[in-house]
Amino acid sequence: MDSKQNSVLSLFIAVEHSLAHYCPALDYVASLVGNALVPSCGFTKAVPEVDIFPSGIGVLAKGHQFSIFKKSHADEAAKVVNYLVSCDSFKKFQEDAARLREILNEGIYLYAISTAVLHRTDTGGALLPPLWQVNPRSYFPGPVIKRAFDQVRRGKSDASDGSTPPAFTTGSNRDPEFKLAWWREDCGFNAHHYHWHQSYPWRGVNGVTKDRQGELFYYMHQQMLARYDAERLAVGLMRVDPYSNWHLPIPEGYNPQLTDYYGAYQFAARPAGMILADNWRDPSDPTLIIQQEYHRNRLLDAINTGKFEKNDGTKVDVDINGLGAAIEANASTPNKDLYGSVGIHNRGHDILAGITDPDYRYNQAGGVMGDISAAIRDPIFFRWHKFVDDLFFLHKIKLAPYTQTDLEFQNVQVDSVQVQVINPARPANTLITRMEDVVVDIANDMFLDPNDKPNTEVKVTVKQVNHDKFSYEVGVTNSSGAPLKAAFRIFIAPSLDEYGTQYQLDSQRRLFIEMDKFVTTLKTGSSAITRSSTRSSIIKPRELTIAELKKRGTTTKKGADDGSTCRADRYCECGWPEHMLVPRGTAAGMPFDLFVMVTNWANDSSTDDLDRGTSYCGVKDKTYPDKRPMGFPFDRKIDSALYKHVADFANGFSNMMTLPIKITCV
Amino acid sequence: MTATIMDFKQNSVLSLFSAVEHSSPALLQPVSRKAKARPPASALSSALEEISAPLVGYAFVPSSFKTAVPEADIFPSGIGILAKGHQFSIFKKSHADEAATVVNYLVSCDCFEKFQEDATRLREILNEGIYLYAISTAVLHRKDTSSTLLPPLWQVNPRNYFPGPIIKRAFDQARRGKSDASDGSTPPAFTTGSNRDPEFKLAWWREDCGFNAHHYHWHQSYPWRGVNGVTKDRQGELFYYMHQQMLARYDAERLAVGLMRVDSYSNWHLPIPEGYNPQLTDYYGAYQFAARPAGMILADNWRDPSDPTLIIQQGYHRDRLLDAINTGKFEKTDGHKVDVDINGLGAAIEANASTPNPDLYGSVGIHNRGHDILAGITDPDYRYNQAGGVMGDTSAAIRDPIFFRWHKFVDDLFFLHKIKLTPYNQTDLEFQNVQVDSVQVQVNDPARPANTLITRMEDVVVDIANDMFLNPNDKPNTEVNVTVKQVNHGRFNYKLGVTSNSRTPLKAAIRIFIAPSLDEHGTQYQLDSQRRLFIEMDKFVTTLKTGSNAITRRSTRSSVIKPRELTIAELKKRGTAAKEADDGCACRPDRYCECGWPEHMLVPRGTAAGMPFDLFVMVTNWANDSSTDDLDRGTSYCGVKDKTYPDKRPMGFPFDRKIDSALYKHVADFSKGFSNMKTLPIKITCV
Repeated sequence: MDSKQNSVLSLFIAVEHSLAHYCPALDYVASLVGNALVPSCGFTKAVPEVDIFPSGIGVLAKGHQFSIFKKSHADEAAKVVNYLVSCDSFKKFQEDAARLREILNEGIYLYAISTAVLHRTDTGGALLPPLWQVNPRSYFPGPVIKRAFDQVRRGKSDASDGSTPPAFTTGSNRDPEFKLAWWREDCGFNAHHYHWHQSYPWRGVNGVTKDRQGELFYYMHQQMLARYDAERLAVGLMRVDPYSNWHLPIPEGYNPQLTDYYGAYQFAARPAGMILADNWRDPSDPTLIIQQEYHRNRLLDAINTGKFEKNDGTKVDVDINGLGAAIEANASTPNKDLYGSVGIHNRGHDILAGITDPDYRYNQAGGVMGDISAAIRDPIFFRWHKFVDDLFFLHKIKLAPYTQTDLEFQNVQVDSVQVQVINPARPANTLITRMEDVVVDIANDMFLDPNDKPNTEVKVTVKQVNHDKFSYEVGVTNSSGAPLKAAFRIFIAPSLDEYGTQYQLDSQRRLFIEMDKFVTTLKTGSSAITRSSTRSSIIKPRELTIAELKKRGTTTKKGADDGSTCRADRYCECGWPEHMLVPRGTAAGMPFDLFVMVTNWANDSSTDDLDRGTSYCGVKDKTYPDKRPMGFPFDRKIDSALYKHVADFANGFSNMMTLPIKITCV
Repeated sequence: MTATIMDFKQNSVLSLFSAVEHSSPALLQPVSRKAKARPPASALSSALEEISAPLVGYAFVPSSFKTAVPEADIFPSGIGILAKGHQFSIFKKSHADEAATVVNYLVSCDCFEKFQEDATRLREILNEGIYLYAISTAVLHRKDTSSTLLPPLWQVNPRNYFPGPIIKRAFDQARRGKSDASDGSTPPAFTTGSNRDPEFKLAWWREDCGFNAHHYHWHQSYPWRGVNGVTKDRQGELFYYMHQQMLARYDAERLAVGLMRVDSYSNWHLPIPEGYNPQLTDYYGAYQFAARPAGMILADNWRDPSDPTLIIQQGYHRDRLLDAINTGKFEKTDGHKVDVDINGLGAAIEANASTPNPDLYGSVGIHNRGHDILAGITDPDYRYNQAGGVMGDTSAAIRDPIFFRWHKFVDDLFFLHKIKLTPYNQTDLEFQNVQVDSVQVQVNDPARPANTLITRMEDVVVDIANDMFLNPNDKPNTEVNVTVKQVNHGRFNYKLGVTSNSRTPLKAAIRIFIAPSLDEHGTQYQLDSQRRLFIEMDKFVTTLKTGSNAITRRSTRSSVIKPRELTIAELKKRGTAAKEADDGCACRPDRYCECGWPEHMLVPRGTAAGMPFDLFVMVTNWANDSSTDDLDRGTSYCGVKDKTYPDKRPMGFPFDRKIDSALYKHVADFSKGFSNMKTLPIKITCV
């Protein structure tokens, strides 16, 4: 166990360096993980490199920008992943990975190796190093990196000269969107988005998509939007507008200040006021606005008629999973010709990434929208996904509202709900958030070169939101006369709109944020259920750093609750960053509605279990644990005549309860 | 000056540019948590030993002098304002003011030891761009460093001179121990464009590192804020002429690759069709030079809220300048009128310290503000905290096609002034008793035909490491080599036959120009259009004896060129005394040794088929023309340090004024009219 973890780690050390040709690096890796697990220096010379890999590997040259949203890139990446997932021993996997480091484009290498680790059965339980330590220049803006290096070299910290450098550098007080740079640029959030896409590749793994992959694509992104809007309301911005008119200038620009590892390319800055243009950057696979509009109209056709047309002309019903498959063009899409072989979603990323140099005239790298490790930094990401989400919304509002039977849980009554932060001095029903300094070592042996030994730490201090850990305390009465397995579904949403007016449920329901979903057995009579926020079904606990991973124990520790363990059937890297679980709120205390619903797990359960991370990421190689539509019960229209506010809705059912809470940023 | 002192100074100056992003080697502190194999203390001392080897024996080096002297107190106020990691632009008044304060301080500090100590301290305090600019400018201007050479800028700050993909490849190769050739691939030499960008045809020219360094050095030799507030002899005119010659050369290159001559950027309200993607950063990628997408429209620049560059102000100053040009009079601050001349017009346009009126003609200058507003076009109110484009930086501005469009606009203002002047008369142009009998050019390879110059693209290898890997525990690193493609030419001689009928020997100035013979459509240029395209190739003085003279002049002596720079490695090995050798190693104390057109770019590239040029030779009387100072390498574009411009004639003479097209349709007609001139049709063939 220990040796595998360290071997996996070695694949990510000094990723820009050759291992096979470069003995000092190999010696160094051997010193970490033991000689037995490291191929001997020069081993690739014994095997003709090119011949051992399937064709189509090594096509994208080194130094070029990798984008999973481009078909040719995604195809090459999928080939590498399929090859690595299939190779039959761990030793072979490791040797091949070291050889591939020589051959592959750096972005594909990183993506494919980490995706393979996630999907191989013999690496189940191994953790990946944090991406922002592996490839820091894609996670931290240049000025921040520069400062970190200065401090190492000059041996003094920011504080020593009395200056307080800005924590975020990609905007200014003239850019309203910059108010949420701290959120969009959070390295854990960006890594989550990357890991989600590598857990659910649109090209599939060995060509196969996973259980409810299309629906999960919808839901994970919909929840990002709900959370984004909560943060926008908190800082006084309007909810995000869809990017649906593709012919007008885009008023918001974005300047990422990121490069690849060695600055071979710079992510394009997108000036304010640019207009979308046909993207001919790949002359054999252009992204044309008229094609995007064509596919949009075919998707609307499917949504409006409720039927997809398959290649053979037969019609099949539209459901949320099929619609997700069509929009992302995953391997289960009903019809590539009509709904797009690359997908309106992926092409939207691609065309927006290329907006500053649409025919590659200036050989300019694309913007962050082309890269899943950085796309969410750009405000246009959320405008684009709001457009995508609106397509899903158009489908969902055509569905019949949930019935009494769908919603009720007979003989179960929620008596009370309370939230309480760990510090008992704080009042009940108030969650506490704050901005914290987090120190990250970005060296990753960046200086490693033929004459040198691994380097000192290079520390970046980032500001991240965090919250006081808290508990949900729910009082429930089971009057059925027998124990019941019950699913608890906990959501929150902002209570007030942009103008301070109470949201009606009709508008508010798209803003509900899933906070937790768990199963417990209700004994007969009343139960007092206490649930710790650290168990949330959406979160991924703090990642172990490279240094911590190096020290990691020899076996999977049972019961350790610190993120240092990973069950073999989990996407251990995927999940909403724990530190971002609670929206930041406001200094004055931002009112939210907390909504609790209890349902009958005997009806809802697939065969698999809820756990940390499963709400947005599912269970590895198994079914999504909850058979209900994702986002239930807020995903469908709710009769506004019956239920004006969420409290009215909860009052209508004994198994629901609403609690007004505040989120205070201290 | 003893040999030992010479060596010591050169190496000391070199140390000021070593690993410029690092704290000075003398100040490196051991880092506590460190490698097991190599004990920190000895690692540090060995690194120090190596880096500061040139300084060993010098009292201050390993001492902790820094902590003994309160940093902030020893420097004048106004130093250390621009924070580290920010982009420095000499075209911004506040930046230029801080840079000037540093330069003035360093030029004035009274001994070399003090200069060196202060420079080391300033490395801690100054913005990196200001540090580099001010230290090098001070070295150029201090009397006690006047023979010291600066290291090539592209070695000192390579990410500012070579695009990211090139740097990346160099590092890969250093690490993987294999060259491009080993895997059979031929990577592109230039990466900032594609075959969909017509302007990319001249990337090799605009992005030449020597050319960019020339432009940087010119501006630091002639700072618009002056040195100690004083401008130099004919600085305004030289500003005009150096840039005019860049345009003439640019147009020759454009014609060679099938592009139209450059268009003036004079309409400030329409989209700019050509974009540019520099792919450059500062040393550590703290900022990235902004890429300018195609189709952007100029916008008021509020990046510095207290000193905006407004289009309406630019329009205002343009009109005031036109007023001066059209009336022939500047209005001074006190209301008095003074005549417009080319030097005053240059001063007004660049707003140098001799400008006739900062209020009317601009305190920062229409030229500087044009750079600034164009540099900020992608983020004009700094909303996105985006660094500016290359137009804001003299070390990279000429990479962007808009540089030449902007300077064509500026040059048109000078042109409007010049065409109001009376054409040169017979007396101005003739040289009685002197006749040019024959002109020939011959490349050194005698197998080549006469009157054909030969150019080629060559691979040049540059080590960009500059101790980039230096860190407290490591030794200086291996070389990191970038291979760049540069134009070069076969060395050649001018051979002139000149007859003097004067009974006494005459000191004569020989003025040699070339210009493309044919226009965009292959039609022969009329002199009226062609005269703005004449490129000065050489200007030298010789004594004509009575009777016929056979004059041979080597291209390597050209008055426009700067010979190839010595690399850092060569500078480290540099001999103990200024050699009289002819290889760029020697620098006379009265020269701007870094300034000059790169020798390898002396000859326009021409075409594979052989591009026709007119070579024009004119001999004038140096007894009339001479200022007190001598022509030499580099003096045509860069003058003579602390002295007068050697040639009293207007720069660009005789093509700077209107020439009567009724009398002289073509340049050959012009030279036929005067015995002291001759035109020779030549070809430039790129092999």
